[in-house]
Amino acid sequence: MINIAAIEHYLPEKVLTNSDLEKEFPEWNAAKINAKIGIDVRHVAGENETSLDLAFKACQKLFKNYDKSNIDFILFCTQSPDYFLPTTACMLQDKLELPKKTGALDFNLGCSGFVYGLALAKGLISIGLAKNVLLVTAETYSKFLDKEDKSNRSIFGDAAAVTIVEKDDSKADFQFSVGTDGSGFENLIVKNGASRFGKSDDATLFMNGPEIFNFTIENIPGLVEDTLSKNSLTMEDIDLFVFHQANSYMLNYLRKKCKIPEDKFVIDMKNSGNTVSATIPIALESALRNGKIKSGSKVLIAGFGVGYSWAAGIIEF
Amino acid sequence: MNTQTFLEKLQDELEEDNTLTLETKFKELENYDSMSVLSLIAFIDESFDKSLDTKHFKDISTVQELMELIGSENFED
Repeated sequence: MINIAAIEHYLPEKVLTNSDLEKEFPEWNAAKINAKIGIDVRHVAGENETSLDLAFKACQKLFKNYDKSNIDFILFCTQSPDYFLPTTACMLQDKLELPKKTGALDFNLGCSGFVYGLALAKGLISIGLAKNVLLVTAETYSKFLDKEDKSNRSIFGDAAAVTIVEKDDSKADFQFSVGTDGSGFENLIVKNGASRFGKSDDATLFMNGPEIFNFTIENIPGLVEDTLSKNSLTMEDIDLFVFHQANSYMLNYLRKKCKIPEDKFVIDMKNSGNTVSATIPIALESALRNGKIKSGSKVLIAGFGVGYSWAAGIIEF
Repeated sequence: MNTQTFLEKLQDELEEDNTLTLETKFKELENYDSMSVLSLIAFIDESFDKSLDTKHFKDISTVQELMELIGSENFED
């Protein structure tokens, strides 16, 4: 049904290392904490660098090996858009000089965004509105982080990933599984700056990490089971599991809880951190490069977080 | 689970060198930090198949109080 034809990503130049954090917060055991969350470096967008800019640079890398004239639809997933309006995807169409017949829309999801994006791309392809979708997952959470918020500054990194989803009838028609629990909306939130609380310079991100962990423990093992059974597959049929790279401690626990063997489970966030909706494509891209994913590999992907929102699916490479 | 096993497992989970007692205060532990709460959540889920409402976490100071939150029915002694 669909094929992932290409993936690229771009990380902003500026980096925040563990020793940078140690210097800023000498009383804090940054080394130990970062060993637990599995992150050495996170990249931070420059003051005038936005999600659109990161996405554009990722596209420039992508187009070295992919003919952009194939693209007929842009799906842009971000929670840190350049403007409330217009739509970031529209500006990207112009920047990339794609034809005016290109479809374009933004959607606002966090860590579940990439999987949702694939499902949406599949939908667009199924109804015949698109053949080659450019799925962008780009995020600059750093702009929402308080300078003093060492925990979230340790976890989140900025990035853009771009993925080409194309129609391919030689691939199996795998089904997606999604879920929502909006009752957890306040546990990962940027409260100020939008309509509910009006204008404010203080648009900072709040995350209740322990509650988010509880939510994943409660929902993700079931999501994996549901996705397998929907597709009449078992654990053994899957060659690789790529979950949203939230932090390595949480991932290791989820892996154990889902009973996934260690060698089939990807933890790959050391050099980029939790880049929200970009973590899965970044991890897929590196698994493709290092041969963990081969032609014919079946990969189960699962994204979960802010909303709460979660989604999983199976990709055949 | 009996209390002794619980204390040993908890010590292991929190990566502490010193033996824990019922009176041990979490915040006074050498290695206690923001990640320790995640360790507690994972440990309690794994051992008791129980999810703790994190709202209660800030009221917990000692190991004994954590055990009360888990529920006495989960301990044999």
